Amino acid sequence: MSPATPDGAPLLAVRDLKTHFRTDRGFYRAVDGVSFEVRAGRTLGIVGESGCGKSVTSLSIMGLVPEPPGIRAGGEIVFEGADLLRRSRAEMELIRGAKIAMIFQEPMTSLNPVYRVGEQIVEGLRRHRRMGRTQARERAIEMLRLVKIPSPETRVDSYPHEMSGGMRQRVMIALALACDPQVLIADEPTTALDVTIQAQILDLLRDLQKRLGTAIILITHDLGVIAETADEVAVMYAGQIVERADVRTLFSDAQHPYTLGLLASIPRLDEDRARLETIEGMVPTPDAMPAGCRFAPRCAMAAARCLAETPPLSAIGEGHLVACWRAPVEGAAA
Amino acid sequence: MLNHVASRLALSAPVLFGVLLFGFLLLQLVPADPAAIIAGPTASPELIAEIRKDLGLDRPVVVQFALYMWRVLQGDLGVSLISNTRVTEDLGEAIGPTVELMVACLVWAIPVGIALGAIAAVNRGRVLDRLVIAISVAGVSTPVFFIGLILMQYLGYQWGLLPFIGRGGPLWTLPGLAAIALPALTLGLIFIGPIARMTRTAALEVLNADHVRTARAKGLAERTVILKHVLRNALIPVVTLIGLQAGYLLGGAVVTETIYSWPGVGRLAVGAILASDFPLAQGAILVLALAFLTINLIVDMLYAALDPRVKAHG
Repeated sequence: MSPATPDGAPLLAVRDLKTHFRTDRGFYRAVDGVSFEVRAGRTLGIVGESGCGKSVTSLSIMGLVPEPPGIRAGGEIVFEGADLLRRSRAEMELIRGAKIAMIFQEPMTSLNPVYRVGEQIVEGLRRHRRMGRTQARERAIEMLRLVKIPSPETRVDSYPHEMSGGMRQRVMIALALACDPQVLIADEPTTALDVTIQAQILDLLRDLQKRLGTAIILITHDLGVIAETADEVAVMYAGQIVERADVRTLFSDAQHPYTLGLLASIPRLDEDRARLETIEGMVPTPDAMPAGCRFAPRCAMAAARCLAETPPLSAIGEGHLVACWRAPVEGAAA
Repeated sequence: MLNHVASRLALSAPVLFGVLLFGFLLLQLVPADPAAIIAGPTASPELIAEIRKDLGLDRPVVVQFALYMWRVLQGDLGVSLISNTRVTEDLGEAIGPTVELMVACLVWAIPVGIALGAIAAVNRGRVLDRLVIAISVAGVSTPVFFIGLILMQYLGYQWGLLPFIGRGGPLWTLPGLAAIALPALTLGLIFIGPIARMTRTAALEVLNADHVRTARAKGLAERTVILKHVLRNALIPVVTLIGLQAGYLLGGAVVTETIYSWPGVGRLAVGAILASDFPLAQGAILVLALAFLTINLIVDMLYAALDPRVKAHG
């Protein structure tokens, strides 16, 4: 079931990915030099504010960035020894859904309203697994049971509008996992759901990962979700990764001022604070991208060098990378 | 589904009553006296008065309408003032050719319109898209009589490719098909424009829908994504549009039938109105109204079949 990769070797490696957009208002570097790896059975969390490029990163992996206006400006996405960015459209179609699958933020609109949910799972199976109708339907029911949908034998014939948001997201997960993909990209899978349903969906994803050995890329703006689910974390800001670490290190020894700002803006029960911390200022707009560190204009610790030169993403510890001229700072997170 | 149809049918009754009332009143306004027409130009005023009495035209308008309604409910549409034949017989002969013309028009115009719209949407902003927009704008803005006359002049008269007068027999025979080609082409040309435009707009909207991204994320071939996921959803507003355009289509049919001497209800209506043949005109108007309601009923059923959410809301 799980892919035959040697221990530690990444299943999917994104290297210096650059996805840009040509817009009426100019050139927009949505993703600008992003690198990370994902391994079987592990979860990489990508965290950042809206518009930081995390969704475009995932769509780039899927080959679903509309071109135009999107441009593959550089880098590579290595999967099964070849660069996904250089694959033909037909080759990508055979990878999408079969080996790399994705679930989206909006369960209410991500399923086609005019087809039964079973049919929507079946068509992927028939496409990639060459299954017959009956066999694919059996598999669809099995998948619905796997994602804990009650009475899957009847639910398979429901239309999306007959289901709640949480149910639909379960259907999306069933649909994404139906062909046993090696990599699952979950783009804000719980954002549109109630808090209790969120926890159920995250539990479900964790549970399925344990059973199926899927590598998960979890995209979210919610550090709480990251803390619960991710093994490794990449923090994105304005199209770049500013910090990468395993989840424990990130929460105990974060170095980048942006990460520290995000951590400080989580409400905590064990602290008596009158109001939450916020990060001053706004995310830079594409037409006014700072010359040096992109976070510098909002950074309390910014020096002259930060405004002039872009800091490289460099290792300061075991698997801990930070793009900040000030790092490492002892006990920055304290 | 049956409930859906039944409620639609129930709604048709008041519409039909309105059509009957309106048709009746409209002819009351026409400054022509059926009795004088029947009596002829040399008849004496006494004779005309007598005929008026025979026809019941001397009674109050309300009574006349009540009697008319009573007869219609019994399926009696009266007798033609000109030919003295029963209106139901005349209409019975004319309905067939009109239905033929409608079907022949819709059978090519709907698929072609939808295909053009889909092609335009997929090629948005490119030459093909512009071409489709140009064709549909031309189709919408050119009057049907003009299209009819041009086609008749060239395809029919000058190049002699197709017959252009009257019906050529049953549709399953070659002369029958040849004869309906030009009328169906004419009527269809005014119809593909609105369909193509609506399909394009709807498809563009659906192309950006989240569920289309899901379909692509499944790795479906682009052709499947467009034909199965985009078009099916885009058809919902297109079907609605077809229902809304039914009146426009019937109006076009009246003109088309007149141009090509097509022996249908539209031509019958025009002839009856020009000849002040009131019973026949009223009958033809009733049939056209029924046609409008039928098309809309079919559209409603199609709509429920295309969109499962409609059934859910009853």
